[in-house]
Amino acid sequence: MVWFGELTTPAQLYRRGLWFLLPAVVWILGLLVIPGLSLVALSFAERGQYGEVVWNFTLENYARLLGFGLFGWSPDTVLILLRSLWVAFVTTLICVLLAYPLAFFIASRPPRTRYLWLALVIIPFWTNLVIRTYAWQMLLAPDFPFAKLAQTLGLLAPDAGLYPSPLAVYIGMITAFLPFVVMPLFSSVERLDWSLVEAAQDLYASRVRTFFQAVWPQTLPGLTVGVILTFIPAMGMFVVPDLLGGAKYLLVGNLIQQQFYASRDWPYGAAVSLGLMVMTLVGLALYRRRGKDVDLV
Amino acid sequence: MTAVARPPATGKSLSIENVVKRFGDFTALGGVSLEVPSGEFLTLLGPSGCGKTTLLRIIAGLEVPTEGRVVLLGQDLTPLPANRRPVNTVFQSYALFPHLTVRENIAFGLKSRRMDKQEVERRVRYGLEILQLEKFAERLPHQLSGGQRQRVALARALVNEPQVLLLDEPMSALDAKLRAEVQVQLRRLQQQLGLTFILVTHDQDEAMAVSDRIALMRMGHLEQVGTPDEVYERPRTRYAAEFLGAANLIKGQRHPMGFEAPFGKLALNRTPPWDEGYVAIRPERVRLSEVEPRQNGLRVRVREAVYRGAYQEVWLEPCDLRVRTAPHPTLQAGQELWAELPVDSLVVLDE
Amino acid sequence: MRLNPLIGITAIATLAFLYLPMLAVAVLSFNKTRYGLTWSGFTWDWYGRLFSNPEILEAARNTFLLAALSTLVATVLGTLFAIALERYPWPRKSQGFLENILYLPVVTPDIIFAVALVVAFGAFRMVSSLFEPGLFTMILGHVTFQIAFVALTVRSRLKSLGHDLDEAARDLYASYGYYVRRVLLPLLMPGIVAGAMLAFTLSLDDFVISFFTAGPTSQTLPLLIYASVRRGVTPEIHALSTLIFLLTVLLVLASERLTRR
Repeated sequence: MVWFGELTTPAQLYRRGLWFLLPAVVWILGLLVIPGLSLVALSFAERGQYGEVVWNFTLENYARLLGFGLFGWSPDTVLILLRSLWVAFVTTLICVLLAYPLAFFIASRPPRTRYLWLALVIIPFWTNLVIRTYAWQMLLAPDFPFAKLAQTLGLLAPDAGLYPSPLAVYIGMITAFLPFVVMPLFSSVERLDWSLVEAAQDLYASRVRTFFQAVWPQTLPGLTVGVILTFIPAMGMFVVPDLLGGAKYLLVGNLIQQQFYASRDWPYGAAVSLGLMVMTLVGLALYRRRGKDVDLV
Repeated sequence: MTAVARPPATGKSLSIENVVKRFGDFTALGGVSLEVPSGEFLTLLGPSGCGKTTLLRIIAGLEVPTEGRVVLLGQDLTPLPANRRPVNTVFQSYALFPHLTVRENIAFGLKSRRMDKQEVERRVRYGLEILQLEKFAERLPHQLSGGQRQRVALARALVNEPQVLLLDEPMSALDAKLRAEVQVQLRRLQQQLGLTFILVTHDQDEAMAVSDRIALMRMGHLEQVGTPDEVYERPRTRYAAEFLGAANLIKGQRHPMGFEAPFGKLALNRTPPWDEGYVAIRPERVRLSEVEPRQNGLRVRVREAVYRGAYQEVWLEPCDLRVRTAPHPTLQAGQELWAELPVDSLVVLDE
Repeated sequence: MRLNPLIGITAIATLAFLYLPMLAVAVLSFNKTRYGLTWSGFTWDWYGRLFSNPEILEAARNTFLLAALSTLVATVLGTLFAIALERYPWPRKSQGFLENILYLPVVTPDIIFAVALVVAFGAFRMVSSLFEPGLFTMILGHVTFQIAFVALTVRSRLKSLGHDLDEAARDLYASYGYYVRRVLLPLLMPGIVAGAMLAFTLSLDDFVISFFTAGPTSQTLPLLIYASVRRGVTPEIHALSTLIFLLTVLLVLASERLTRR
């Protein structure tokens, strides 16, 4: 056969192709797939008295994940799972609502400055999340104007800060994920066929109707990517709730981290991780159905 | 003109021997055999999907034939990879290397064969010169117009002094006016260099304008091979008659005196090989007159007459003939006159 | 395109919201007082101290060493992987398997990947002390997710090239080696550079994987900032964060310039 101008045979190509392939595949298998499988194995093990792993098969970790503990059923862990889903959902929703005006605004800039505006969105995206998150700690601190304003309005006890709180977590999450929605959405908006919008207006559609009939369907590919890029990592987010949520507003990410540090309960931590992985895979399956033709990167 | 060695005049430089190419269930070429003499300008003509590009790619070594072989000057090319064949291609997309300047593009084939520096330079200079590219030598392909790019692609192939130059629809990306100009240049260049050119095109005008011979292809087979006027004046099949220019096809039966069409008898200068079949006549060969011609005359009525500037197009009843004549301002729909189908212009089609 | 002014206002406000935290940090990095958030005068002091703080310098060195080494490895592996995926006629099933391998690091939540590494390195340690938490284990972790991003970037470049140029090179007598050197690599270079820059930034940016795989001597800047946030931030950390932010701005603008060419 001739392959890209080269007279060769499939056997020859496979032999050479393997050299290109193997380093990366072995690397990913060895450092992602095998670790992942050992995580699965670990989730069926027991925690020893001193935090060591005891290789006795048990389903107890999964039972605990669903709330069945030593003292009967308690909603704590289930609540954390549901809360993670809820926070991810609300974060995604608000990000989408904020991303539309921003994407349209950037797309409406003249071509010469458009990419500078886009760079303005990308820069915070690349700035370390730990920095952006601790900055919000200060902005929401008791002696900063935001908290002062809330105190004066009587929304907040005197000398209290706006963090740690659910609100702070949402603010942090939106800061973290907004660019993930804006960027893919912008690439859809930029390619928008405006003749459809004009046609809709020609037919005396209202603004709302024009948006939902002529604009929204065209931005679906970008929106889908943005939603996936936000929702999935938001469920596993650890830095933001850790720094802004406080002990009462734990998410799955914190729960996992606790098991590997403070509690030293690796098998349970592994089970929680797999719970998160299942939620992720469900999200991805939805993505596969909706946005097949859109690249992730 | 000494820079490019002429191939020895063996009479037949390239022979394609019973080449078959199948892609899965699809047969792109169903056994094609063709001899191309040295220095000939041959055109593979046909609609898309007829296998012409596949045949070209097989000659270039970019495709392996399922059966058959390609022999150049007695040497079997079939087992050779593309980079070891003394054959070069001008690609439809030109395939210029976007990261190399015009000069570097032209030098590519020479440098990859490790030719010595002076020789590379001499040939590049020659290539730039014959295609008038000296001014653009240091430009990158994206800084050139379509016509300039095409000349670079041509120069890049020619400086290698290939035994055969293959051109894969090289003019399809040019606009009509430029295309006509380039056709003339290409023909002149080929005659100047005396090289074998094989051109692939679906454009019959282009094929007529440049070729020594045309190989008309259809569904993986050669339909007819011949000089442009042979193929045009003496098409062998309905397909050939209709693909090259316009033709009136007349269906009828063989008759002792010639041919019997629904509207009358016609004399032919060849006895048809069939009992029922077609004869063809080009629209410009039908003669119109007020008086009855001596032979093959038909009484007709003008159904429609369209003035086209250089000529006039006329549709006749009841024989449904299309005629091209010098403009007659008086010719009008409904008018009755005589049409003559001259014996020498009536072509008996084999199938 | 005409836009409702409300859209413009919302957009600007959203951008302001994104930049507010960075602005606060930058302002505080010039604040004279060590404690509290009240303004008490302008100073460059904290930037000066930054460069005499051995802990911070060590973390900066680790961060860049980690980013540079892991990017180097990931760029080579990712580029080879992209070529293998795009330029070899793998049977359909193998191709599907390879695609999954490619996307796996992209879609796995980083915290799961991190704890999986913790578990695996725990096991690997029984074989070799190389896997003690430290710069080496961090490089292993970073390369794993970087490979995928490099491969995806290079692959999209490869896809856009088609096969005409390969055929032209072969038609012009190029051997495989000559073609790789003079055609394939130069043409891929923009993609490789873009992929490497992406990988480098991802490494600089990473917190979670570093957090779980770092050892006592391999503190990086994000880890250091996180640790000092737990202890209580100092204006030096503000100064450091501001510098990191400025570096990010430079990197983004540079990569924009490279990829928009």
